[in-house]
Amino acid sequence: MNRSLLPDRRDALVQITAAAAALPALAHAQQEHQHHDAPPASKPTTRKIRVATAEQFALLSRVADLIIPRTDTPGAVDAAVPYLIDREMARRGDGFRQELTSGLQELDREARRREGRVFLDLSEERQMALLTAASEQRDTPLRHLFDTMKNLVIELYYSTPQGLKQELGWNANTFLPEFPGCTHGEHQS
Amino acid sequence: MQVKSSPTVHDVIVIGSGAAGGMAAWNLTRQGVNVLMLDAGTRFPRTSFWSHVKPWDWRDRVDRGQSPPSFYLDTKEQPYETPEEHPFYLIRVWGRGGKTNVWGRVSLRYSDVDFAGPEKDGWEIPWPIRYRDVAPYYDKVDQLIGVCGGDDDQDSLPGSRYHLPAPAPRCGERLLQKAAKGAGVSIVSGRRAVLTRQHRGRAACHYCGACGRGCDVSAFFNASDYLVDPAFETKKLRIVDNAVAARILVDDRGLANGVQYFDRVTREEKKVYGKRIVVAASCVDSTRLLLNSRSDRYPNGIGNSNDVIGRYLCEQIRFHLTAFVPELLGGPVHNDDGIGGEHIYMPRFNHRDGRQRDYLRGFGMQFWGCGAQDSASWGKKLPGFGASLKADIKRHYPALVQLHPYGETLPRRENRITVEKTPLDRYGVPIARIEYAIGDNEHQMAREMYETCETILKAAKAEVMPYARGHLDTNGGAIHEHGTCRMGADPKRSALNAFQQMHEVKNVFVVDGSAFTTASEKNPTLTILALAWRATDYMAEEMRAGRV
Repeated sequence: MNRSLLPDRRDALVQITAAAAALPALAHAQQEHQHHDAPPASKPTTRKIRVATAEQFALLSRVADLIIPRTDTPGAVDAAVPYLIDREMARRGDGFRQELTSGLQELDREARRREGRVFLDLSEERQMALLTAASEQRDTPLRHLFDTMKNLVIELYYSTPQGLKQELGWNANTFLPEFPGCTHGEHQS
Repeated sequence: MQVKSSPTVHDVIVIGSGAAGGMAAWNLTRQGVNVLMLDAGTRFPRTSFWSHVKPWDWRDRVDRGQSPPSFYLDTKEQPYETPEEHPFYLIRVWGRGGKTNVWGRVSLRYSDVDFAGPEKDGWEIPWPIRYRDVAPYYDKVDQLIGVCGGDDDQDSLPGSRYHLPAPAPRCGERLLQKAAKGAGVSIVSGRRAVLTRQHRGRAACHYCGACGRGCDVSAFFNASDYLVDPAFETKKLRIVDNAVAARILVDDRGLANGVQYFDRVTREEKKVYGKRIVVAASCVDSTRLLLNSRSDRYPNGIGNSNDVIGRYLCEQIRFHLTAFVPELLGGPVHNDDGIGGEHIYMPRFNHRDGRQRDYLRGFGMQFWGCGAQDSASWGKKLPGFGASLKADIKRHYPALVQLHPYGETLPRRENRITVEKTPLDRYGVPIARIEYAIGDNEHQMAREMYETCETILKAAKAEVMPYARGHLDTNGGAIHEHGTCRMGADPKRSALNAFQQMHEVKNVFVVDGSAFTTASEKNPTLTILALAWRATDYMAEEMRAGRV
C-alpha cells in the first residue's frame, strides 16, 4: 500500500471536524435536494395580514398574480408574495404604505374611468390591458404604481422557494466537497 | 468622572484587530514581544453566522425577532460628516477581525507599476519601497493565510509560487475570458484568500457561496481566527475588547507613551500605557485618532507637523454592468456558488500598449455574480409582465454575467479627513469629516473602463442590460480607503518612512491602508498584510537594538 496516497490522519480529522460543523447544513442541503423537484410541501398557512385593509390586500394580490402568474410552476400568489408585500408595507413605514395604497387607489380610479368598474370587477383581459397601459405611461402615478409593484413582486417572488428553487432551479448555498465549474469544452478559450 | 489607568507599561500597544492589527500582533508576539491589543468591539461568534440560512428562512427568523451578527458599525452609534455635495459611503466594522470577517477576499499583489508609478507620471510622490522589498513578504503571506490563484505573472500583477489551486471558472466566466482573449484583453484566474484545499490545519471551502455573511468554517482568511487567536496562544497577547481608542498620549520627550480609550459599553474613559504604539484601526478611524491626538508638542495631531496626515485620501472608482451570454440562455442551471465571488480577474493593461491617454494610472476588472444567483433583481428591467416575463426571467437566469471595473484615483491634497470643527461623538471625541471628490482624471479613465467592458461584451455577443454610461458608484463604495498617513522618503511630504514608522515620532507605526502612498486599482488587503509584517519585523529588530 502506498502510504503517500493515504490522507494524513490530521488532515482527515480536520476534514471530518469541518464536515461535522457543516453537518446541519449538509443535512439541510440533502433535504433540500430531495425536495428540489417536488412542489413545496403545503402547510396550513398561519400568515396574517399586518397593515393592509382587506380591499387593499385583495387588489395588490390580483396585481401580483398578473405580474407573475401561476404557469406550470407556482406564481406570486402561490408563493404568498401578497403577504410579503404587506410585510414590506409594515416594515418600511407609513410613507411607503401610503405611496403604495394611493397607487392602488389610482388603479381603481383609472379602472372606473376607462371601464366603469373597479379593477377587481374587470375581466382578466381588461385587467391586463389596464396594466399594460400603466406600464407604457411616463411619469404618472399609475406608472409609478406599476413599477413599484413589478419591482416588489420580482424581488419577493424570487426570494421564495417557489420562485428561486422551483421556478428558476436554484440549488446552491449547500455543501460541496469540490467545485467542478465549467466542464464544457466549447466554452473554453 | 473617574479615570482608570493601568500601571502596566506594555511593550507595544496595537490599536485594531483587523488585517493590519492582527498581523502586527501575530508577528510581534511570535518574536517574544508582549502586546496589548485594543479592539473596538468583540469577537463575532462563528456559530451565530447565518451562512446557510435561505432567503425565506432569513425573513422568518427576522420576523421572530432574531438577527445575524451585526458586523457593520451603525452610523447612529458613530457618525461621520461629509459635505452634502460630496457624499462618501463609509463602511466600518468594529469587532475582532474587523472587515476581514466579511471582506471580498480579493488578494492581488501590487507591483512597481504601483510603487514607482508616480516617478513615471509625476503626480505626487512615489512609494519609498519597491516590489523587491515587499516580494518576500507577499510570499510569506500567501503561505500563511492561503491564497488560491493561477500561475500567471505580469508587470501589473506579479505571480506567486505559493498559490493554492485556482477554482474552475463558471461557464459565464469562461465565455467572457474567451471573448476577451479574442479582443486582445487578458483575463486570468482570480486571486482570492480562500482555501481551495486544506491549509495549515484549516478545512477547505465547501463552496456554499455565503462568504459575505461570514464563513462558519473559517475557510477564508480572517484576522480573528488566522492571526489574533494564534497570537493569543503565545500568551504574549492581551486583548481589551470594546475599547474605542480616542487619542495617543505623549510624554515630555514627544514620544508616544499610551492610548486614551473609552469603554464602548460603559463609556468610561481609560488609559493604557506602552512604549510603542502600532496604529491599525483602518484608514479613516486611524486618521481620526492621529488627528485627535493633539498636544502642545503636536498641535496638529501627533506626527503631523507637516500637515500631511488626513490629506491625500484615495478610494477607487467603480461601476457595474449586467449582461447575458447567448450560449447559456435557456440552458441548464448549475450551482455557481464556487468560492463566493469571482474566479477570474482582468489585470491592468493600459500602460502597455503605447497609446497616449488623457488620464493617469489604470484600472482592473472583477466579475462578481456570474451564473445562477440567489435572486433575480435584474428581472425588474426586463420588459412586460405576466407569463411572458416569467418565462423571460427563467430563460435569462443561467446566462448572467456581471462586470465590475475598479480604477485608481489620484491622491489630492484637498481630499481629506479633518476633525477640527466636527461634532463630538458619544464619548466626547470629535468625529471624522470626510471631504472627497474625484476629478477629470477619474472621469476620463471611466470612459476607457466603459469602452473596455463594451469591447468584451460585444466580443461575447452578450445582451447588455441598460446602463448610464459614465455613472460611477458613490465614493466609498469600494471600501478601499487609503493614503491619509502616507509613506514617503521625504519627511516634508509624508508621515511615515519606508517601514511605516512615523518620521516625527519614532515609536509610532501606522500599518493599515492609511499608510499607502497610492491607491492602485487593486484591492489593498494582501499588501496591508505584507507591509504590516515587514514593518513589525523592522520594529522588532529596532526594539532588540534598543533604538525604538
